[in-house]
Amino acid sequence: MIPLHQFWRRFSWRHARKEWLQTSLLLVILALGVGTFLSIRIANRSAVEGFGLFTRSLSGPSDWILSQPGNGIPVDRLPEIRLALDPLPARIYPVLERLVLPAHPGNPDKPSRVRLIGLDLVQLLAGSGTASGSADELDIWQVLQEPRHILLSKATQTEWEVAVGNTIDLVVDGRVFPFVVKGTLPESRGDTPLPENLALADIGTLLNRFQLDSLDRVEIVLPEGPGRKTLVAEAGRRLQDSSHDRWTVGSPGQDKIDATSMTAAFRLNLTVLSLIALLVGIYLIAQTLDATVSRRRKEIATLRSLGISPREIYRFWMSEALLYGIAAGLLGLAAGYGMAWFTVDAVTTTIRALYRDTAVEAVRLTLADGALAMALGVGGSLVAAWLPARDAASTPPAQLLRMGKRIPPFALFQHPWIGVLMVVAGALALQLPSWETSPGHSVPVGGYTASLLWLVGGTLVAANSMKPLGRILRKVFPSRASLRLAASRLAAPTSRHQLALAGFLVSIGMAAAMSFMVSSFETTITRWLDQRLRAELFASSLGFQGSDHDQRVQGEILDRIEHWPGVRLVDRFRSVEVDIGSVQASIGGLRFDLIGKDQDLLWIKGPLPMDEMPPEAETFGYANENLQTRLNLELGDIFDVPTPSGPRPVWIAGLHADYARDNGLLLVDLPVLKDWFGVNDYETSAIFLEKGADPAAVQASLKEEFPGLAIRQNGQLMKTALSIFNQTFAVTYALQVIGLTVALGGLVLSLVSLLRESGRELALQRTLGMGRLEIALSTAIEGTGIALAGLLTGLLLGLSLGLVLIRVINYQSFGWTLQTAYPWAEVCFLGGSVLLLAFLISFFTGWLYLRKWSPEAL
Amino acid sequence: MQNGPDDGGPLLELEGVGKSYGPQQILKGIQLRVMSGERVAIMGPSGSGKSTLLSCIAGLETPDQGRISFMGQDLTRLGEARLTELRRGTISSVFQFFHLLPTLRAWENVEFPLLLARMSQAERRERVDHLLEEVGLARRAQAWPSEMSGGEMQRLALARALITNPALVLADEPTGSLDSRNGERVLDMLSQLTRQHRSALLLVTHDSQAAGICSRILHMTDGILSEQQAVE
Repeated sequence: MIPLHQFWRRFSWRHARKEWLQTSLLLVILALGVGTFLSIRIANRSAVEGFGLFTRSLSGPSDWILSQPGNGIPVDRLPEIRLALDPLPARIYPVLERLVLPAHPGNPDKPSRVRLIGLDLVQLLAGSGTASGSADELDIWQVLQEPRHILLSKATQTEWEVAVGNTIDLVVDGRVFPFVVKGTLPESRGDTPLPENLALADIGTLLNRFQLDSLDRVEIVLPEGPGRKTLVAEAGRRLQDSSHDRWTVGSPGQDKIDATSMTAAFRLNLTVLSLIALLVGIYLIAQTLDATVSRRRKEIATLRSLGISPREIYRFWMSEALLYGIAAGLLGLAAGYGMAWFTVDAVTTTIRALYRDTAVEAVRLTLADGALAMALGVGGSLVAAWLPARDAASTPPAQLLRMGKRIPPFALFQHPWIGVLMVVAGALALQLPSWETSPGHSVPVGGYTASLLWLVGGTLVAANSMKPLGRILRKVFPSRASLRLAASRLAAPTSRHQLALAGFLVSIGMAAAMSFMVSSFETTITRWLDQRLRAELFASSLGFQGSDHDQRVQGEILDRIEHWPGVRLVDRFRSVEVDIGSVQASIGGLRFDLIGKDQDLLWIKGPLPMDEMPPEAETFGYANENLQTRLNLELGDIFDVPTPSGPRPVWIAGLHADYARDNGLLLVDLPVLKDWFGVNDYETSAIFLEKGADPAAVQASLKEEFPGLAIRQNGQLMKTALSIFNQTFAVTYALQVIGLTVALGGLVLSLVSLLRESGRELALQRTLGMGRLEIALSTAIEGTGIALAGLLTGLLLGLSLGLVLIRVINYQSFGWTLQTAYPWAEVCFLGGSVLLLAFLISFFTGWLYLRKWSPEAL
Repeated sequence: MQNGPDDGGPLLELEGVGKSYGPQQILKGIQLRVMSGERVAIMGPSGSGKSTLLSCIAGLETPDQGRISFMGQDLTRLGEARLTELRRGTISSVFQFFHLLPTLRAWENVEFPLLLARMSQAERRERVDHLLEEVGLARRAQAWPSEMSGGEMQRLALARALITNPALVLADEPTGSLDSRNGERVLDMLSQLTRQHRSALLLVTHDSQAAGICSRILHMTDGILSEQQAVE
């Protein structure tokens, strides 16, 4: 028995060096798969840790956060809060927080926004004791001398093309305010990095300038030292006891948990997609390693002749894979770290667009990341090597090989019934309920399980689908030598054929499923937008995105617009975040008098007639699907809404589709919301024009009068809304392209292996009088046959996976019912393109191979 | 298919043919003439260049010196396309290890050269059935090569070689992998069928009994071909 290190030294290392290109390719593929997964993991973590980084980085981590849904905490409550905490040594930080952007952005389609934090700078300067930072750095005294002063990060100054001393007009809540850049924020305070998208100003001057009398929140910080735990608990108790519903007491951890839970579904789906990319990469690795087996077949056969057993051959091959896995894991770690700098940006941009604002936490690697990279690299390599190692072990001794004894195909692929069982098990797994990870958030375990079982099971079932194809081809084309030969090889597929088919099946299945999902999404969203966007114009604060619940337009501004020439009426929307039990949801206000006339909702159920409203309900409302799922609501239920003045019973009169958010929303009549929460500022408004009014002219005049507002025409808003959804699928599109490229690359590898293994057969074909063109044509038909079988079975798999994605995974993750829309045109185009490419690639593979090939002695 | 030149000249003529692989000269100044329908054996030890000689005659290798004339054409000057065409039906081969196409059934292996010749289905069918009958494999028409014995496989290879009525059959150790009984049977068939189809035969062998079916035996040593006594 050869010791492993001897085998590595005499065989593995020499082959790796000789075929350095193939070795490098193998390592790069696996490293990329590991790196992609790792970079998305780091990006997800970075985005989540960025929640709440804005104030934490300045004032240090707070122990309690006081807030009040609706208008916030009135400024004049601060003395009461101080009184409640006396004589505890607590520092109180009132906070104002707004998203701001330049009134004249360089790129209007992609405005650069920063989060403006208003803090008590004097208190900050006095030293919170929790973060070091010299007064010189922040230049606080200079800032306090002038109400327009603001501090920006260096990155923001560069992006906005301003410098210290410059004046810049910023849009805040739909209004334009001039600011003077007084200083530059440092990159960090102590150990805590400051987010790049942060601006700082004094809270007193901001409240004055913005004419506000309430705070977004009040943060309480207690000093370090012995007995701190007791101190924090005591402070929390006092705040709770003295609140009398005037404020809610929360912890920063809870805020982060809520934000983390909110984005969990999106981040999990992204992780799953990256795992699928890794799976596709593993298939390519398997084909590459399989090609290595065919290339070293004679060597293996000679080893067998010399007395090395199949078991030892298997051991050698797996040990080589282990070495590759270790190298790929290390490379993947480096690649993941590098790629994370790009994916962090993409993930946080999408989270900001769909959920809420977050800062970009610096990319960093942890020990867990390292361990995971190694596990994926080694695990992936060993999984990919398993079948090729078995194939290598089944090599007969050299004498038998010379006589043309055929290598038996993989035993696993000869039992399609295993695949059938897995497919059936997958169907049963769909019945599994989702796993609730936190209140209101669940993981679609059944959906993911079914998808995995169908992917693997489908591969085993489809492995033999080339046989009937070969038989059909033989019958249809009985008189062409190239076709007959190709058909006969398809009818008796080797493990190489089956592995190539498996790669195609997985790639096509994945691409088709994602196309199906995206197409269904697009159809549903378009239908929903058509239903919801009926006004001619829409208004919001400049730079507003869907996740911005704190960027609002003052009611007075909208009142003025309502009396504007050409304007018939203005419908306004406002939402307030509340905690219902342990589920975070929103209560939204919309003019119900317009529903069914100028406005409408996309109904899932209802609406019920008003005369059916029970007497115990104070009012009625319409819940979105997400709220219905999370709180188990049904049509006709009565539901208590928490308000500052106590719970209010609301009758659920209808259930509607809402694709703008994946948290729960209950719509009530706007006057009711205003009454409950005392609000008079709005996130978005729909402007309906008089008959005959020119939308473009009204838009222009409104923009001139209100430069801090974004006024969009119906078509523009539709386009913007759809582009946001396309953005969320950017990763999906990239993975589709990667998957198809991998499948075609795998086909080339498999064909080269097949040609290599067929040296004697090629010599025979040449001896029998087949020309190079005919042999290349035979190769082309064989390759296209593999692709066709993979395409047909892959499309079937894609259809099934797509339905699971739409009806199960998506529904259980986000609570959205989607209309199914199969993209026939796209699929036909995909199919046609794949077949054409497969034919061309296979033909040229055969043609070029024969150019370099030397006939073996027969 | 034409079985020989019209003017009665030699079917195959080699003049001063030489072939080297690197510094080693495998064939040295080969002179050979084979007439239509003639059966010639070439005997010699392993490594003497016999298989290389057959490869050059089949157009699979190009000699470095000399000339190979077949049916009046200089093979050394023909392009790959023309040589391929010759191998399709005019020059065929039988090998020691049979070399059947493993994914084709027995009858399909025999039929394959006719597919290359673009013959009609009806005609192909008739010829295949006839030849399978001739080699005694009519009942094994549907079998896969992996299901056949060595003797059966070689008879099948013989049928494939003769299906196009070739002018010349090149046989490289056709009985080398067979036991004596099967070898004898194959030799009998080779002799009878080449005579029946009026094909010339160039047989390379170690076996003097195999050589016995030929009218002329040549000897090859270290790349040099020499005459042995003619056999009546």
